[in-house]
Amino acid sequence: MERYLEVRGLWKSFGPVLALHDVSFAVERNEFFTLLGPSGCGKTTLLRCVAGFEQADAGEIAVEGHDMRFDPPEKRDVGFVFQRYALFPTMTAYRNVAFGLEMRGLHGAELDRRVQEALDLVRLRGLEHRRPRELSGGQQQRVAVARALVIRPRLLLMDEPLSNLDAKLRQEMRTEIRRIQKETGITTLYVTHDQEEAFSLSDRILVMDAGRVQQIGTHAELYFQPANGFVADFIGQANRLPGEVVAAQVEETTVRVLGETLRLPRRPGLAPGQRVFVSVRPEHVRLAVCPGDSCLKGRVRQRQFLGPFLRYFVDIGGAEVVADISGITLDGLASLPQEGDNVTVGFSPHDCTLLEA
Amino acid sequence: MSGGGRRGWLRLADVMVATLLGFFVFAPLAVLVLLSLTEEWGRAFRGGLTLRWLLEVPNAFGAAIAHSVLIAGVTMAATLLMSAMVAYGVLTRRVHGPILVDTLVMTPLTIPYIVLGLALILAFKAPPFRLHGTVWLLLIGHLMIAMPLGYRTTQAVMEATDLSLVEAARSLGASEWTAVRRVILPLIAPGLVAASLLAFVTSLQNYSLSFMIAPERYKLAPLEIFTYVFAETGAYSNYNLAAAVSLCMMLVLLSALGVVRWLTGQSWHENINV
Ligand SMILES: Nc1ncnc2c1ncn2[C@@H]1O[C@H](COP(=O)(O)OP(=O)(O)OP(=O)(O)O)[C@@H](O)[C@H]1O
Ligand SMILES: [Mg+2]
Repeated sequence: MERYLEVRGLWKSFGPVLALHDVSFAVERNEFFTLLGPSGCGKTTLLRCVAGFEQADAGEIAVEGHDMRFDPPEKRDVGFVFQRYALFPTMTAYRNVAFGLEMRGLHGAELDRRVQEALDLVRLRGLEHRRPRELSGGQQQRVAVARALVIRPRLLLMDEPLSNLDAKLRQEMRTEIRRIQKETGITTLYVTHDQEEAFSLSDRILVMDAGRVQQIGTHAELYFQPANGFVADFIGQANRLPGEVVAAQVEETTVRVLGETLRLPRRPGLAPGQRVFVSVRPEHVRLAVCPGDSCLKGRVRQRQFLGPFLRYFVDIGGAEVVADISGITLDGLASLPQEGDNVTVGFSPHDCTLLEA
Repeated sequence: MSGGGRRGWLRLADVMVATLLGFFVFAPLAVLVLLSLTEEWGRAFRGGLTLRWLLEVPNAFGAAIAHSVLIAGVTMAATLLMSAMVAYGVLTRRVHGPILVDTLVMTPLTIPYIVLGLALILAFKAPPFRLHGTVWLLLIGHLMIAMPLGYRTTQAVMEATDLSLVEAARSLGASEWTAVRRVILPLIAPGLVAASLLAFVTSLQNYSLSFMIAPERYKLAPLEIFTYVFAETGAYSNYNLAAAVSLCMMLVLLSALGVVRWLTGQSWHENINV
């Protein structure tokens, strides 16, 4: 793996607030890498450290092996797309895009060619003589992307660039950003708190919480093999059933959950008696009207019709399990468990993840 | 919109406000113009109109006006430069203790000018800084009274600008100075115009502080006008001439306004409603 951007052991605090806690990761050339995490977890701070707007307390930031921690922003050659675009209000779209090229000493026909090329890339031809406030949010967004890309930076940094757009436009721009990134092949570091956005855009994702790296991986890895309870909860939805390890064998780990014994694929490092969580996603939970034998028994507290699936909230001895039942038909609705029904709750051991409590 | 009656009332209020403004603001101005153009007060149209007073202004007040404009110009430039630097420093957290800075800059506003003048005289009468009786003390005094207004205005417009604009420009390869000059300055130009004018006017029209600290025989327009208006005897007591010079001062101010607007170029019109 080629380490294009490498961040090692980054720390940053604002007075008493520890914003970055020993953050390390590496991004490959041409990769679309996303920082995902809840509000206030330090995503923006991390991005600003890479851009040079913020000075880290400790740690290394290197592009192609060159440590640029002490370079001022103008020497780092990174494009930055701001959450609120930060377009220059007194300049037209054209002049906004041309700014970075002017700073690099370009002028005349060459400058014009490059600006037009960038405007084409973001499909903004014809609007170049408007000022930012004469452009819609989506168009401003495109100018911001063009402005950052036109200088052909070594790195493109984007801080929640879609969060100010309405839902439909957000979808559209998502596709656009991915297309532009593919076309230009620019190594991109993208920040969002929206996991759907992260999944649809990224090659790999770094999940952050409270200034710490929680897990780095592809969407499939994050979704199916969450490293810990935080990731399991944050990515998609997950039921977390409290339990206790009964026995840790070579092949499998036996866990007692809500009064039932489950045999799950082994997870190393767990000893008998240890408290754990069994994490299982709602779409992997099966329900059956109670036949009266094994498995977890519960009672349907609420049933929500959500279009593609039915969402059940099942009460199991005080704990709540969410189950999403898909593939429903109009005729099938009546035969599915109703609110108040006693049901059994089942899931395959392969769909479960054991997490330390 | 419900009810024409309500609108009618609004219109009536508009008319009243306009009338009051017209009367209290423009009536004195009209008197001033009339005074400077007539032979004798109270006989506006009997004595006939004359340019005599206006033509006499350069002779009688030339030096005073020149001095006043010079002092006001220097005060304005220094105020603008210092306010801009301090405000930007506070905004980017390079100047620490914004509250201390605020207090320091704003305090002169709370001191009666007469007291401020006295303090300045006492402070600069003896070594190490013997500035009493020099133009420098006059400049210091004017700077002290112009700064609160200039700084407050500059700081307000700077605070309203988005600092990520500077960051955006820097990530595109601009040095901080280039970023401020090319991106921030055009944006806050109208605010700086306002700040400049406030500083200029504060200095130009000041009487009481100048009266105390201006060097002897250093003529300043407001001091001279006062002399003409209130001198008890002789040819000095001349309202018409005083009005004429005041009119000239107003023209100076209006042209200053025009020049600054012209200097800040189009951005004035473009940014006024950002
Ligand atoms: N300039 C600053 N001064 C003080 N504290 C700050 C500063 N910038 C960030 N913080 C704090 O550092 C932490 C991380 O902030 P950061 O902006 O990086 O979060 P974020 O992940 O980008 O959140 P969001 O998704 O809401 O944008 C927060 O607790 C925040 O309050
Ligand atoms: Mg943020």
